[in-house]
Amino acid sequence: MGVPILLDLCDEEVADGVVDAMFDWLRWVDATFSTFKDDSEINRINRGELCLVDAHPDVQQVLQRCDELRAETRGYFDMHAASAFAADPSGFLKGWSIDRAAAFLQESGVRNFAINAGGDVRLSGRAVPQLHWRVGIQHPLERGEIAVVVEANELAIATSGAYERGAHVLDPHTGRPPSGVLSVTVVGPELGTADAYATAAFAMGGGAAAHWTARLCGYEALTILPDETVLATSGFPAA
Amino acid sequence: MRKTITSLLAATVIAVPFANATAAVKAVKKTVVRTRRFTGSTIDTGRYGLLRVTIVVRKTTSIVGTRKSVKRRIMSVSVPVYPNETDRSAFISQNAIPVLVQEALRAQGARVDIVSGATYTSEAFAQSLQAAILAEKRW
Repeated sequence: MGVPILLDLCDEEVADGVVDAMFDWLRWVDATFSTFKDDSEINRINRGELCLVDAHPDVQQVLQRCDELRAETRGYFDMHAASAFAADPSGFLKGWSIDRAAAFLQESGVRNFAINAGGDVRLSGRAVPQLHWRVGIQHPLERGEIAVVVEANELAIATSGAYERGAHVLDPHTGRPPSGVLSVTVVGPELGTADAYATAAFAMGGGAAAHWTARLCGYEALTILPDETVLATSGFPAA
Repeated sequence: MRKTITSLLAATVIAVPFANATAAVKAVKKTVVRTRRFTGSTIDTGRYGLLRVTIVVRKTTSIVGTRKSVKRRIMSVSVPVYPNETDRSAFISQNAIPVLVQEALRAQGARVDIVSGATYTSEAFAQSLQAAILAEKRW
Protein backbone atom coordinates (compact mmCIF):
# COMPACT_ATOMS: atom_id res chain seq x y z
CA MET A 1 0.00 0.00 0.00
CA GLY A 2 3.06 2.20 0.25
CA VAL A 3 2.07 3.95 3.46
CA PRO A 4 3.58 3.57 6.91
CA ILE A 5 1.18 2.00 9.41
CA LEU A 6 1.75 3.02 13.00
CA LEU A 7 0.16 1.24 15.93
CA ASP A 8 0.10 3.20 19.18
CA LEU A 9 -0.69 0.66 21.92
CA CYS A 10 -1.76 2.00 25.30
CA ASP A 11 -2.77 -1.20 27.13
CA GLU A 12 -0.59 -2.29 30.00
CA GLU A 13 -0.43 -5.85 28.69
CA VAL A 14 -1.11 -7.34 25.28
CA ALA A 15 -1.16 -11.08 24.55
CA ASP A 16 1.89 -12.44 22.74
CA GLY A 17 1.74 -12.52 18.98
CA VAL A 18 -1.34 -10.33 18.57
CA VAL A 19 0.51 -7.37 17.10
CA ASP A 20 2.62 -9.58 14.82
CA ALA A 21 -0.50 -11.39 13.60
CA MET A 22 -2.12 -8.04 12.77
CA PHE A 23 0.86 -6.86 10.72
CA ASP A 24 1.11 -10.28 9.01
CA TRP A 25 -2.52 -9.95 7.94
CA LEU A 26 -1.87 -6.43 6.62
CA ARG A 27 1.01 -7.84 4.55
CA TRP A 28 -1.36 -10.46 3.15
CA VAL A 29 -3.80 -7.67 2.17
CA ASP A 30 -0.98 -5.84 0.41
CA ALA A 31 0.04 -8.95 -1.52
CA THR A 32 -3.54 -9.80 -2.48
CA PHE A 33 -4.75 -6.34 -3.49
CA SER A 34 -1.66 -4.52 -4.70
CA THR A 35 -1.84 -3.19 -8.25
CA PHE A 36 1.97 -3.04 -8.17
CA LYS A 37 2.38 -6.81 -7.69
CA ASP A 38 1.94 -8.77 -10.89
CA ASP A 39 0.39 -11.89 -9.35
CA SER A 40 -2.00 -10.14 -6.94
CA GLU A 41 -5.63 -11.24 -7.20
CA ILE A 42 -6.64 -7.72 -8.26
CA ASN A 43 -4.23 -7.75 -11.20
CA ARG A 44 -5.34 -11.26 -12.19
CA ILE A 45 -8.97 -10.12 -12.15
CA ASN A 46 -8.07 -7.05 -14.21
CA ARG A 47 -6.28 -9.25 -16.77
CA GLY A 48 -9.26 -11.59 -16.97
CA GLU A 49 -7.32 -14.53 -15.53
CA LEU A 50 -9.46 -14.76 -12.38
CA CYS A 51 -13.25 -14.61 -12.16
CA LEU A 52 -14.67 -12.45 -9.37
CA VAL A 53 -16.69 -15.40 -7.99
CA ASP A 54 -13.47 -17.43 -7.63
CA ALA A 55 -11.62 -14.62 -5.88
CA HIS A 56 -11.05 -14.52 -2.12
CA PRO A 57 -14.24 -13.48 -0.25
CA ASP A 58 -12.43 -10.37 1.04
CA VAL A 59 -11.63 -9.34 -2.54
CA GLN A 60 -15.28 -9.73 -3.51
CA GLN A 61 -16.37 -7.75 -0.46
CA VAL A 62 -13.95 -4.87 -1.15
CA LEU A 63 -14.90 -4.58 -4.83
CA GLN A 64 -18.60 -4.69 -4.00
CA ARG A 65 -18.26 -1.95 -1.38
CA CYS A 66 -16.30 0.19 -3.89
CA ASP A 67 -19.22 -0.10 -6.31
CA GLU A 68 -21.66 0.94 -3.58
CA LEU A 69 -19.46 3.90 -2.65
CA ARG A 70 -19.36 5.08 -6.25
CA ALA A 71 -23.17 5.24 -6.20
CA GLU A 72 -23.26 6.90 -2.75
CA THR A 73 -20.80 9.60 -3.86
CA ARG A 74 -22.42 10.30 -7.24
CA GLY A 75 -19.38 8.87 -9.00
CA TYR A 76 -16.86 11.10 -7.21
CA PHE A 77 -15.32 8.06 -5.55
CA ASP A 78 -14.53 5.76 -8.46
CA MET A 79 -12.12 2.80 -8.44
CA HIS A 80 -12.25 2.90 -12.23
CA ALA A 81 -11.21 6.58 -12.40
CA ALA A 82 -7.76 5.79 -13.82
CA SER A 83 -8.92 3.11 -16.25
CA ALA A 84 -12.37 1.92 -17.28
CA PHE A 85 -11.07 -1.66 -17.60
CA ALA A 86 -8.93 -2.03 -14.49
CA ALA A 87 -10.26 -1.81 -10.93
CA ASP A 88 -8.03 -0.05 -8.42
CA PRO A 89 -9.67 -0.31 -4.97
CA SER A 90 -6.67 1.19 -3.13
CA GLY A 91 -8.64 4.34 -2.18
CA PHE A 92 -10.93 2.19 -0.04
CA LEU A 93 -8.58 -0.66 0.77
CA LYS A 94 -6.34 1.18 3.21
CA GLY A 95 -9.23 2.20 5.44
CA TRP A 96 -11.00 -1.14 5.10
CA SER A 97 -7.89 -3.07 6.13
CA ILE A 98 -7.34 -0.79 9.14
CA ASP A 99 -10.98 -1.35 10.19
CA ARG A 100 -10.41 -5.11 10.02
CA ALA A 101 -7.09 -4.84 11.84
CA ALA A 102 -8.74 -2.78 14.60
CA ALA A 103 -11.56 -5.34 14.90
CA PHE A 104 -8.96 -8.10 15.17
CA LEU A 105 -7.13 -6.25 17.97
CA GLN A 106 -10.40 -5.70 19.86
CA GLU A 107 -11.37 -9.38 19.49
CA SER A 108 -7.93 -10.24 20.87
CA GLY A 109 -8.64 -8.20 23.99
CA VAL A 110 -6.70 -5.06 23.07
CA ARG A 111 -8.71 -2.05 24.21
CA ASN A 112 -6.73 1.18 24.02
CA PHE A 113 -4.93 1.87 20.76
CA ALA A 114 -4.69 4.10 17.73
CA ILE A 115 -3.69 3.06 14.22
CA ASN A 116 -2.32 5.74 11.92
CA ALA A 117 -2.10 4.67 8.28
CA GLY A 118 -0.50 7.55 6.43
CA GLY A 119 -2.62 10.19 8.10
CA ASP A 120 -5.85 8.18 8.26
CA VAL A 121 -6.58 7.27 11.84
CA ARG A 122 -8.60 4.67 13.71
CA LEU A 123 -9.07 5.13 17.46
CA SER A 124 -10.09 2.73 20.20
CA GLY A 125 -10.43 3.31 23.92
CA ARG A 126 -8.38 6.07 25.46
CA ALA A 127 -4.94 7.55 25.14
CA VAL A 128 -4.48 7.49 28.91
CA PRO A 129 -7.05 6.30 31.46
CA GLN A 130 -8.35 9.82 32.13
CA LEU A 131 -8.10 11.29 28.66
CA HIS A 132 -9.72 10.86 25.26
CA TRP A 133 -7.65 10.54 22.12
CA ARG A 134 -6.84 13.92 20.59
CA VAL A 135 -6.21 13.93 16.87
CA GLY A 136 -4.91 17.04 15.16
CA ILE A 137 -6.15 17.83 11.68
CA GLN A 138 -3.22 18.93 9.57
CA HIS A 139 -3.29 22.63 8.61
CA PRO A 140 -3.52 22.52 4.80
CA LEU A 141 -1.22 25.48 4.21
CA GLU A 142 1.31 25.32 7.03
CA ARG A 143 3.20 22.08 7.49
CA GLY A 144 3.89 22.09 11.19
CA GLU A 145 0.51 23.49 12.18
CA ILE A 146 -2.71 21.84 13.37
CA ALA A 147 -5.96 23.33 12.04
CA VAL A 148 -8.46 21.69 14.40
CA VAL A 149 -8.31 19.06 17.15
CA VAL A 150 -10.74 16.13 17.26
CA GLU A 151 -11.43 14.49 20.62
CA ALA A 152 -12.87 10.98 20.63
CA ASN A 153 -12.70 7.40 21.91
CA GLU A 154 -14.03 5.08 19.19
CA LEU A 155 -13.69 6.83 15.85
CA ALA A 156 -12.23 6.69 12.36
CA ILE A 157 -10.77 9.90 10.92
CA ALA A 158 -9.76 10.40 7.28
CA THR A 159 -8.47 13.58 5.66
CA SER A 160 -8.17 14.25 1.95
CA GLY A 161 -6.30 17.28 0.71
CA ALA A 162 -4.08 18.56 -2.07
CA TYR A 163 -1.19 19.15 0.31
CA GLU A 164 -0.48 15.49 0.99
CA ARG A 165 1.46 14.35 -2.04
CA GLY A 166 0.69 17.06 -4.56
CA ALA A 167 -2.58 16.85 -6.49
CA HIS A 168 -3.19 13.10 -6.33
CA VAL A 169 -6.97 13.32 -6.08
CA LEU A 170 -8.61 14.13 -9.42
CA ASP A 171 -12.22 14.88 -10.21
CA PRO A 172 -13.20 11.67 -12.09
CA HIS A 173 -15.69 13.69 -14.16
CA THR A 174 -13.14 16.20 -15.45
CA GLY A 175 -9.81 14.41 -14.90
CA ARG A 176 -8.44 17.57 -13.27
CA PRO A 177 -7.53 18.37 -9.68
CA PRO A 178 -10.46 19.92 -7.80
CA SER A 179 -10.38 23.62 -6.95
CA GLY A 180 -11.85 25.78 -4.25
CA VAL A 181 -11.16 23.42 -1.35
CA LEU A 182 -7.99 22.73 0.64
CA SER A 183 -8.96 19.67 2.63
CA VAL A 184 -11.90 17.58 3.75
CA THR A 185 -11.86 15.52 6.95
CA VAL A 186 -14.56 12.89 7.51
CA VAL A 187 -15.09 11.07 10.81
CA GLY A 188 -17.35 8.13 11.63
CA PRO A 189 -17.53 4.47 12.55
CA GLU A 190 -15.59 3.01 9.57
CA LEU A 191 -12.30 4.25 8.19
CA GLY A 192 -12.82 2.76 4.71
CA THR A 193 -16.09 4.64 4.25
CA ALA A 194 -14.77 7.83 5.90
CA ASP A 195 -11.77 7.79 3.54
CA ALA A 196 -13.96 7.28 0.46
CA TYR A 197 -16.30 10.09 1.54
CA ALA A 198 -13.37 12.45 2.20
CA THR A 199 -11.86 11.66 -1.20
CA ALA A 200 -15.21 12.13 -2.95
CA ALA A 201 -16.05 15.41 -1.18
CA PHE A 202 -12.59 16.76 -1.92
CA ALA A 203 -12.95 15.80 -5.59
CA MET A 204 -16.24 17.74 -5.73
CA GLY A 205 -14.32 20.90 -4.84
CA GLY A 206 -15.46 24.32 -3.69
CA GLY A 207 -18.67 24.84 -1.73
CA ALA A 208 -20.14 21.61 -3.08
CA ALA A 209 -17.80 19.61 -0.85
CA ALA A 210 -19.08 21.02 2.45
CA HIS A 211 -22.71 20.96 1.36
CA TRP A 212 -22.50 17.34 0.28
CA THR A 213 -20.95 16.29 3.63
CA ALA A 214 -23.88 17.91 5.48
CA ARG A 215 -26.12 15.16 4.13
CA LEU A 216 -24.04 12.19 5.25
CA CYS A 217 -25.62 9.70 7.64
CA GLY A 218 -23.54 8.59 10.61
CA TYR A 219 -20.50 10.58 9.46
CA GLU A 220 -19.45 14.13 10.28
CA ALA A 221 -17.12 16.33 8.26
CA LEU A 222 -14.90 19.38 8.36
CA THR A 223 -14.00 21.26 5.19
CA ILE A 224 -11.26 23.88 4.88
CA LEU A 225 -11.64 26.40 2.05
CA PRO A 226 -8.84 28.41 0.38
CA ASP A 227 -9.71 31.57 2.35
CA GLU A 228 -9.14 29.48 5.52
CA THR A 229 -12.85 29.29 6.27
CA VAL A 230 -13.51 26.09 8.21
CA LEU A 231 -16.93 24.52 7.81
CA ALA A 232 -17.93 21.66 10.09
CA THR A 233 -21.13 19.64 10.25
CA SER A 234 -22.99 20.25 13.52
CA GLY A 235 -21.94 16.98 15.13
CA PHE A 236 -18.24 17.22 14.30
CA PRO A 237 -16.31 16.28 17.46
CA ALA A 238 -13.94 19.26 17.51
CA ALA A 239 -12.29 19.65 20.92
CA MET B 1 -14.18 49.07 36.80
CA ARG B 2 -11.93 51.60 38.51
CA LYS B 3 -13.11 50.41 41.90
CA THR B 4 -12.21 46.81 41.06
CA ILE B 5 -8.63 47.72 40.20
CA THR B 6 -8.24 49.72 43.41
CA SER B 7 -9.42 46.83 45.57
CA LEU B 8 -7.13 44.40 43.77
CA LEU B 9 -4.14 46.63 44.45
CA ALA B 10 -5.12 46.95 48.07
CA ALA B 11 -5.34 43.19 48.42
CA THR B 12 -1.86 42.79 46.98
CA VAL B 13 -0.40 45.28 49.42
CA ILE B 14 -1.99 43.56 52.40
CA ALA B 15 -0.86 40.14 51.19
CA VAL B 16 2.84 41.01 51.16
CA PRO B 17 3.59 40.90 54.92
CA PHE B 18 1.94 37.49 55.30
CA ALA B 19 3.48 35.57 52.45
CA ASN B 20 6.90 35.27 50.87
CA ALA B 21 7.73 37.38 47.83
CA THR B 22 7.05 34.78 45.12
CA ALA B 23 3.64 33.87 46.45
CA ALA B 24 2.57 37.51 46.74
CA VAL B 25 3.19 38.40 43.08
CA LYS B 26 1.44 35.31 41.82
CA ALA B 27 -1.68 36.48 39.94
CA VAL B 28 -4.98 34.81 40.68
CA LYS B 29 -6.81 33.36 37.67
CA LYS B 30 -10.54 33.80 37.62
CA THR B 31 -12.63 32.02 35.00
CA VAL B 32 -16.27 32.65 34.23
CA VAL B 33 -18.12 30.34 31.83
CA ARG B 34 -21.51 31.32 30.46
CA THR B 35 -23.70 29.63 27.88
CA ARG B 36 -26.31 31.51 25.90
CA ARG B 37 -28.71 30.76 23.11
CA PHE B 38 -28.93 33.15 20.18
CA THR B 39 -31.65 33.10 17.59
CA GLY B 40 -31.13 34.65 14.21
CA SER B 41 -33.79 36.64 12.41
CA THR B 42 -36.37 34.76 10.42
CA ILE B 43 -35.47 34.82 6.76
CA ASP B 44 -37.88 34.33 3.92
CA THR B 45 -36.08 32.19 1.40
CA GLY B 46 -38.71 33.07 -1.20
CA ARG B 47 -39.33 29.87 -3.06
CA TYR B 48 -38.82 27.55 -0.14
CA GLY B 49 -40.34 29.36 2.83
CA LEU B 50 -38.99 30.64 6.15
CA LEU B 51 -35.76 29.75 7.85
CA ARG B 52 -34.40 30.60 11.31
CA VAL B 53 -31.23 29.43 12.94
CA THR B 54 -30.47 29.12 16.65
CA ILE B 55 -26.98 28.74 18.02
CA VAL B 56 -25.76 27.97 21.51
CA VAL B 57 -22.56 29.80 22.43
CA ARG B 58 -20.25 29.18 25.34
CA LYS B 59 -18.28 32.19 26.47
CA THR B 60 -15.27 31.67 28.67
CA THR B 61 -13.84 34.76 30.33
CA SER B 62 -10.49 34.42 32.02
CA ILE B 63 -9.06 37.18 34.18
CA VAL B 64 -5.46 37.01 35.31
CA GLY B 65 -4.50 40.17 37.20
CA THR B 66 -5.59 42.98 34.89
CA ARG B 67 -5.42 40.81 31.74
CA LYS B 68 -8.74 39.63 30.47
CA SER B 69 -9.24 37.14 27.67
CA VAL B 70 -12.53 36.02 26.16
CA LYS B 71 -13.09 32.84 24.17
CA ARG B 72 -16.33 32.09 22.40
CA ARG B 73 -17.35 28.74 21.04
CA ILE B 74 -20.40 27.67 19.10
CA MET B 75 -21.70 24.56 20.86
CA SER B 76 -24.58 23.70 18.60
CA VAL B 77 -26.52 24.92 15.60
CA SER B 78 -30.15 24.13 14.97
CA VAL B 79 -32.78 25.23 12.50
CA PRO B 80 -36.07 25.62 14.47
CA VAL B 81 -38.01 27.16 11.59
CA TYR B 82 -37.42 25.77 8.19
CA PRO B 83 -39.32 25.46 4.95
CA ASN B 84 -41.77 22.58 4.93
CA GLU B 85 -44.81 24.05 3.25
CA THR B 86 -44.84 21.80 0.26
CA ASP B 87 -43.61 18.26 -0.22
CA ARG B 88 -40.85 19.51 -2.42
CA SER B 89 -39.49 22.02 0.06
CA ALA B 90 -39.87 19.53 2.92
CA PHE B 91 -37.62 17.16 1.02
CA ILE B 92 -35.09 19.90 0.46
CA SER B 93 -35.19 20.87 4.15
CA GLN B 94 -34.26 17.44 5.36
CA ASN B 95 -31.62 16.77 2.79
CA ALA B 96 -30.19 20.04 1.65
CA ILE B 97 -30.00 22.44 4.59
CA PRO B 98 -26.33 22.21 5.29
CA VAL B 99 -26.00 22.49 9.04
CA LEU B 100 -22.48 23.78 8.97
CA VAL B 101 -20.75 25.42 11.87
CA GLN B 102 -17.89 27.76 11.26
CA GLU B 103 -14.88 26.67 13.25
CA ALA B 104 -11.83 28.65 14.16
CA LEU B 105 -8.75 27.64 12.21
CA ARG B 106 -5.57 26.64 14.00
CA ALA B 107 -5.60 25.06 17.39
CA GLN B 108 -2.47 26.33 19.04
CA GLY B 109 -0.65 24.68 21.87
CA ALA B 110 -3.14 21.85 22.21
CA ARG B 111 -2.21 18.34 23.28
CA VAL B 112 -2.34 16.11 20.22
CA ASP B 113 -1.75 12.34 20.04
CA ILE B 114 -1.89 11.85 16.26
CA VAL B 115 -2.16 14.01 13.16
CA SER B 116 -4.70 13.22 10.43
CA GLY B 117 -3.96 14.24 6.88
CA ALA B 118 -0.20 14.48 7.10
CA THR B 119 0.85 11.83 4.59
CA TYR B 120 4.33 13.07 3.86
CA THR B 121 5.98 9.72 3.27
CA SER B 122 9.36 11.29 4.03
CA GLU B 123 7.94 12.25 7.39
CA ALA B 124 6.88 8.72 8.27
CA PHE B 125 9.88 8.52 10.49
CA ALA B 126 9.03 11.77 12.20
CA GLN B 127 5.48 10.52 12.76
CA SER B 128 6.72 7.27 14.23
CA LEU B 129 9.09 9.16 16.46
CA GLN B 130 6.29 11.47 17.53
CA ALA B 131 4.14 8.49 18.57
CA ALA B 132 7.02 7.04 20.51
CA ILE B 133 7.75 10.31 22.30
CA LEU B 134 4.09 10.75 23.18
CA ALA B 135 3.89 7.20 24.54
CA GLU B 136 6.96 7.90 26.59
CA LYS B 137 5.49 11.10 28.00
CA ARG B 138 2.44 9.19 29.18
CA TRP B 139 4.44 6.60 30.99
